[in-house]
Amino acid sequence: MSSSLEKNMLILRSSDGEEFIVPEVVAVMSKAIKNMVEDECASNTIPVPNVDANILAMVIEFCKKHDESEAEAASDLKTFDSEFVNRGQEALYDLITAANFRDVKELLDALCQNVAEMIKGKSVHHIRIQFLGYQLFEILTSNFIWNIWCDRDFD
Amino acid sequence: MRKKSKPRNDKRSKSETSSDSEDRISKFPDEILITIISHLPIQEATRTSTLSRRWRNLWTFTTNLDLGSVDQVRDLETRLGPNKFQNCLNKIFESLKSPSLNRLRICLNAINVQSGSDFARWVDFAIRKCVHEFDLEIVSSKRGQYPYPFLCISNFDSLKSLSLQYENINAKHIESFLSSCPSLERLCLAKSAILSGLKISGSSLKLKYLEICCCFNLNWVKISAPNLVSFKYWGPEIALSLDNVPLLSEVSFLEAYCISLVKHRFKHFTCILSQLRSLSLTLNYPWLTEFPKLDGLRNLHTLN
Repeated sequence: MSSSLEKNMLILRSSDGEEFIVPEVVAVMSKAIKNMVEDECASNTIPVPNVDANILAMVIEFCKKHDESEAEAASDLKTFDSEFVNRGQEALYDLITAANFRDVKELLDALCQNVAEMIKGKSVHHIRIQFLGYQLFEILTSNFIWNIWCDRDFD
Repeated sequence: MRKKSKPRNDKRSKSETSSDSEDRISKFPDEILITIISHLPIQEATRTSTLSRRWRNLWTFTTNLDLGSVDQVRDLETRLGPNKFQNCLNKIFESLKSPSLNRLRICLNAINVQSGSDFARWVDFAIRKCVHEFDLEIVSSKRGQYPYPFLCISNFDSLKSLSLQYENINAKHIESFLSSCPSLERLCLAKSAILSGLKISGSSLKLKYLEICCCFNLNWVKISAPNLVSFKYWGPEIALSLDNVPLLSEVSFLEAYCISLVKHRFKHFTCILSQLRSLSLTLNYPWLTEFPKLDGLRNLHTLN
């Protein structure tokens, strides 16, 4: 496969063994991969452990779009970003883990913004139950004192 | 897809989320949680301190201090009373541990701005926190003499983007300001009532984006900025001169100025037409039947 590979292309191998051929400029949007390429410790195929094919494909899609659209209007990119990150919590968290692990700053930022949007306007109870895995009875009992706190604004 | 379908005996009414994704936020490292918090307005960011022990101090590392819109600030102030409100702001300023802020947004009602020292304090705070993006909006219901906020700055190196909405800003302020912010790339000026003419020039200007909007007493604007890429203008008819803008490629005009442009057939514009990639004109006048031919728009990609 690598013999037919064009110049400036890299192969990324996901944790479950699937391979993606990606232009180098796109791949190095991940700082982790960039460092590997710069240190020349990367062969043509770069393993991306901890990231499965499904998520890797999404990350590549995001990086490709951001690479292409450098010249494009910023507003188009914003629309793309907000549509891209609009996913279920499960995929969102997998993406955050991948973006953090591979150090793709723009993606991580867009994803975290999306999580912030989900949290925004919600009560502390709601955040605890929906996002932090608290059980309702825990909130009703052991955190009673905190509850008195949380309905107050910052003061 | 991995899904745990372990039955749980909690009393959650809805489970819109799959059962194993709930506590994943807690497994993220602090940096990610801080990035999430940094996207929240400060009122909500501080509220995360009550989520659990781990979250108690995380918000103080936020890189974005956004006090919310004028209305939100006003609501908070009426609820807390002016003194408590001030204490609140002070507390937030003191608690912040992040060495630098990406964004600082302050919207305030001018009635509450009693003296120049308030401004000086915020600006001082902004400089100390190496703010990259500074939004300052001061709204007043009636015109009066309010202090000018940037009197005392000498060197604001970190500032890349400034958005200023304030009635009492004049050209001199802006010029002295531009010279003390060497890294400034984006400048947005809005709602100045006393600005009559504006000269933005300098060979070392890094300015890339310039937006002027709703300055209704503006008569003339002279721009000479070698790095300027985008210029947006929304306001009355003005004498606009563009000189030494080799990189300018996006131009956007709204309403009144547009009409005069079309009337004069883009007379003062011919020299830069060939370098434009994007030209946006917003006109809302049905009587305008004739639209002049624009020659030389060779590189235009988008025309709205």
